[in-house]
Amino acid sequence: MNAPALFSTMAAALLLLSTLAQSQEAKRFEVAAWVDHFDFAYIPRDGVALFDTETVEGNSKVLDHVQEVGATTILWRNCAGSTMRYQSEVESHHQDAPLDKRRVPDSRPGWGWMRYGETEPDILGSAMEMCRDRGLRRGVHWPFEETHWATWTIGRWNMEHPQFWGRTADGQPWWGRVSLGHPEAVEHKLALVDELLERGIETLYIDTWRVGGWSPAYEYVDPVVEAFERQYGQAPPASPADPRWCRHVAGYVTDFLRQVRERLDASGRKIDLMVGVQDIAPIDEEVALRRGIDWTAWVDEEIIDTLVVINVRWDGEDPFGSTRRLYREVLDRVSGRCRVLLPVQAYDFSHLGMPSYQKATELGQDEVAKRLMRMAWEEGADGVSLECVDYNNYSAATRVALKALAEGECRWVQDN
Amino acid sequence: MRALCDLVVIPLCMGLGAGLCAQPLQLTSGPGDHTEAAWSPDGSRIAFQLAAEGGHRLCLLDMAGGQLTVLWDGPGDALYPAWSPDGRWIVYCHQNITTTAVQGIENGANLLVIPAAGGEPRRLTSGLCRDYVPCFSRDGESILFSSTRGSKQPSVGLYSVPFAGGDPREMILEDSQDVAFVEPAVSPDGRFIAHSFIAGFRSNWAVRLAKASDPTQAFSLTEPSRSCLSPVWSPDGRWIACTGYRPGDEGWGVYVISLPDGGMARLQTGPGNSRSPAWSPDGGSLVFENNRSGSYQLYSMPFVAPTIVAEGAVDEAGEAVGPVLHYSFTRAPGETVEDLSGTGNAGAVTGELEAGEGAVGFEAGGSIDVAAPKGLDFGTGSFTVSAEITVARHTETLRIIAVAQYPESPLGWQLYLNEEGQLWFNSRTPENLYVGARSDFRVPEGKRLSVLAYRDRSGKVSLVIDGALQQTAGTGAMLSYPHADLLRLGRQYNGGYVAEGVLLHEFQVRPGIPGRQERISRHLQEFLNP
Repeated sequence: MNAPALFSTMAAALLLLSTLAQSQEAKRFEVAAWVDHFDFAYIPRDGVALFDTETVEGNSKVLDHVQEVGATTILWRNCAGSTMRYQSEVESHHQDAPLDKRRVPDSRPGWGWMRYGETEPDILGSAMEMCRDRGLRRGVHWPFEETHWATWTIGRWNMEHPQFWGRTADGQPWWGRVSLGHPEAVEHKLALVDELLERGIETLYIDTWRVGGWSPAYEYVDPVVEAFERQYGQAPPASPADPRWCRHVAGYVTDFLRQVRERLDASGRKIDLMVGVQDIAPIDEEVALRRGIDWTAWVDEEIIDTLVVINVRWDGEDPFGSTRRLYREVLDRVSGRCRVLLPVQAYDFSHLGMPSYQKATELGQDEVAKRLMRMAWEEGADGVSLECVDYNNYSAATRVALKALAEGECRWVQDN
Repeated sequence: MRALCDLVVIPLCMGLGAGLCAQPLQLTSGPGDHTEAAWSPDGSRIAFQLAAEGGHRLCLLDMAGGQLTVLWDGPGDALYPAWSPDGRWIVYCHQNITTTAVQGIENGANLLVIPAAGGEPRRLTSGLCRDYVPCFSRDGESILFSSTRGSKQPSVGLYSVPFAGGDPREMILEDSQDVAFVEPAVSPDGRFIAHSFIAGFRSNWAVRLAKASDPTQAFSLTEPSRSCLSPVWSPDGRWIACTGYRPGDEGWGVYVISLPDGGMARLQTGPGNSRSPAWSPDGGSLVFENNRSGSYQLYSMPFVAPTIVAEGAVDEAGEAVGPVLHYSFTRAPGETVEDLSGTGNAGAVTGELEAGEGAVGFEAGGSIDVAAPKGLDFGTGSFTVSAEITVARHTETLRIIAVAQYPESPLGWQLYLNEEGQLWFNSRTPENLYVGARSDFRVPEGKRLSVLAYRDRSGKVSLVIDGALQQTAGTGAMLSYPHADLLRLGRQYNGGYVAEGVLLHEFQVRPGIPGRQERISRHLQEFLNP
């Protein structure tokens, strides 16, 4: 082989290798860590707070800690309810009580005095920059509509527009919580999407589990009721668990996500829309619909890029076996039409997270985490989602174990 | 104190006198929100807060000449100005935080007083808490305010502090998440404190009256079906104005509540949100903030007492309705009990009843029965059961006060006392399942109670006792009621659960749900003038 031919062959081989590498790079098994700097805000050691989350330096330390789990994606929390944790022009902030007397202040030491809306530079923008500099995929974790169970999470826009509040069947308005049945409320939320885009996000993760008390029970607002009457020729049922009513209400959530999708696409950048749902398996549409959620429609319509399974309803008699069956069921239902992240959940609000697995199996957290992550990988998921990486809630041993898998055995997505 | 140049005052009302203006008149115009107006005791000035670059300033508007002056424009936020009764002082809330929480914050939002003529403010409270929305006592000796200073949970209590200086004193605090007593306003006679109140994530702001001598004794003037806050007393004590919203409104508005009957009306303040009203000292005008121009500006309007349309009992079509059965036991019944409703539902006395002091008792196992009563075929519509009862003594048994028996639902609806002495009212689901509302408390012995129990057209069952809506309600009670087989007072339809120790003074049944006046009016009068 002459020199030019050898060069040509080598070049072709390099190109092939490069292409293969790129192909593999595109299929890196994702470890998506939900991060809320607020949860790092008041961790005193010897009288000193470990993280000053109102500074870039403090949040850099937060990120250091989070990366110990081998995270490839950071989903940084932007809000609590409808109060923002960055310099939002559209919404108000955690510290706005008593500037707004309608809000009951967060009186807790430390947390109650966080002024994320005034911090220089803007917290969310600087967090996204840090992620970019560290080679991490950067995103925002935006809990759906109103999260938490406290009035200090109610934003100014909501308080200023009582005419858009949710309402029960008997006409009682729900203080400070708006309904997606009002186009003005949707437009307001889309303005928040614009703010997030301005901060350089690559992923918008909307979490529908953290719905606070949002449910079809509070959707008896005029536009939703009138649409129901037009469609069915009768008044809506008084029971918010009525399947027809739930499906009707779920349509407004789907329509909202459709509009978010359009907004992201209109940015001219490729922004992934992730949506998280909980308790979705065994696939039981009625259970999901009672929360006003119709995730299969989002998949079928290809509105979302990634489905995040927040937890599955596994069986205590066979924790891992039943989990695996449920993972398969979800993946089969999705059938490759969007990416799927499966849970390695530290939180246990629903008694379906790692603490409950530990209780059921008497295994340590690190072992449970390893099994869940490996199972997700074996079943062909695109990654795992970690809710939430707070200070030490994924133990040191768990962080080491997860990182070892993320950078070793589970580095690439299985091609099933 | 200096004149403020960057605002334009619109003095339309000034020369004429507010009372001559038919429509709300704009008092201020300029950049930033102008809010939280407070009229000086002599009526010559209005204090308010102005949102400006870097924080909130305290400003004064001269009502005669329209001149605006800045009373305080230091760093931070100066909020919620309130006048002393002699007009010499203004107390306000001030907050100026310049460090991160981790770096350390010495003071939070605290109270300061400043001479109304201008001068240096004096710190009244301190500490890392939020002291806000202050008002002076009628004698000017102390200041009432809301604060988080005693809270471990996100809650707010009412406190007072001597004007001369000293330690704040807790007046009322319930340290549970989202329980807040905010915006105290002392009545002209000093006997009551009106304030905003919220209790929980899913509740709504309500306006309450508390006794100044014991703020734990309180009466809610507004109900969860609307959101109301920022109460202020008219100078004659006959009205309370507040910010309010009721489903169907375009946004926030100024409501007035008449005393002592509790009637409510929304004032016509024009487009936009209207909030935080304040009375002129002569009671002839109200000043409030409105955002029709894009930012909040101050407006005034003459106060003309509105005609309060009584929110009486209504049926599904909104028509006023009367009872289909009405018994009064002011006179002892004979063998029958006359039905005062005119429907013809006379009751037959079965067994022996005790009678006396305007009531009947069921100690001996007697009852009052109406076979095939007319008018109790409510279908899926609303209905109300009202009763005046006294529980002379408690037993540890279930006691049926009233039960209506239907063909396929022998326990169609019931009013009863449970073993713990709590009062219950229940209706049923279409599947004939129980749905109940319960009293918040064990019924006190020997006290006459006014009970309103009702199912509304959405299937919610509620219980109001002495004007107070009880917290535990039920939903989904959409059973369709056909013609009833039996109405029985004093024991269960099959004879058990005798209402021992219960005295019944009045009893009514009617379609529809009770109106606001009926729910609260008499009880409010008793609260104001016991």
